[in-house]
Amino acid sequence: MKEMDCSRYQKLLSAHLDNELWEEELAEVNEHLKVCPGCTRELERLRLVQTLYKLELENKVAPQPSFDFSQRVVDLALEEGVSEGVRSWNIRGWWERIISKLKSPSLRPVAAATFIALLLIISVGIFSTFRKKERLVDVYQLASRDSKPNEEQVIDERELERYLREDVWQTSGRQLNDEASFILSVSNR
Amino acid sequence: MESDEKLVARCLKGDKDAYESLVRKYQQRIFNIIYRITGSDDEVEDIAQEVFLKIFKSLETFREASSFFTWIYRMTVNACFNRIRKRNPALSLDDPDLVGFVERKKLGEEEEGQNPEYLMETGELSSAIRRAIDSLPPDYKAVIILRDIEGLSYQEIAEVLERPVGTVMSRLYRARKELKERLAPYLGINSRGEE
Repeated sequence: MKEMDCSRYQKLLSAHLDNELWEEELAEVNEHLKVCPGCTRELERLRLVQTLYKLELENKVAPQPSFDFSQRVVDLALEEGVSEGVRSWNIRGWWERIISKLKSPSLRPVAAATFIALLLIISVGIFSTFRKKERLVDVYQLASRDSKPNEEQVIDERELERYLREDVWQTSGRQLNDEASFILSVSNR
Repeated sequence: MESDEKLVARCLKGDKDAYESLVRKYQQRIFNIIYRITGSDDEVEDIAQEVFLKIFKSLETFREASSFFTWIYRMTVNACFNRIRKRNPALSLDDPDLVGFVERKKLGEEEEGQNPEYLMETGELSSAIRRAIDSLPPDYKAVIILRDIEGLSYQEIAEVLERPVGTVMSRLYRARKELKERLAPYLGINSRGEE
């Protein structure tokens, strides 16, 4: 039972050496170390091994970069067209910066208000489009009722449909009378 | 010295001097990490060049949430691992029992029983430590270097290696245990840790 406990503590000794144990774990390991000379010895050995390999690694210094290393890397980057990439990244960079700024807590109310305003504008736009279509259809029906049965067939349905589809966005300010007279002229053709 | 964030921002505006400053700021540290992980000085400059080019090309993906050095270390460690894999495709980066990455000499077999003071004086201890470090799998070597030489916290190492903190903790434990076992003869203990 004691051996099992020790193997669990020994796994934590390495993190103990680095001061990376949670408070509760640290207290538990320290309590164990007080009563376990084996684990205390193991901790000292690990510390010694760490000192030895650290010394060795610190002495293992790579050769100095050549004096023109940084210049060569930049030149190579330019040769590979990285600089052109940078220019295009700027646009993306701006967009990302705007998004990240909007995500910041201080600007969240502004972002929410902007979002709601955009939503309202889009909703009103869609609603008015449908309203306009309904009004045009009403006018068309009114015109059809007044015309003779055989004259109804003369109406170019496709032309009317194109008018409804293409003109509906641009004619938002046009008066209903104008629309009615157009429809009537088409239906009476 | 100008902060990394400011240098990165200038780089993104296409400022050539800023990029050169970033390279000069990190080149020696990157050279050392590469040298310590790969164990070869022939390829250091080549790998470092590859790392810096990659950094410049993917600079727009850098997020200020993570520190620049964590990001640059990640690129460096990954470049080292890729180079090691290229050298030996069959190699598992974290398997301490796999023979083949470098000569994994069982130090205890031939050097056990030698006097530690004598070995220290003759430089044999130093060469034994070097061999023990070189024989570690690259993943283990990386955690040792990032922690004990670069002084990164477990959380920072986890970010560099993109692994959970628990994995970092367990790799460090295993790496140190492995080194302790390899150096056991010099510490007057047997490989199981008994004196």
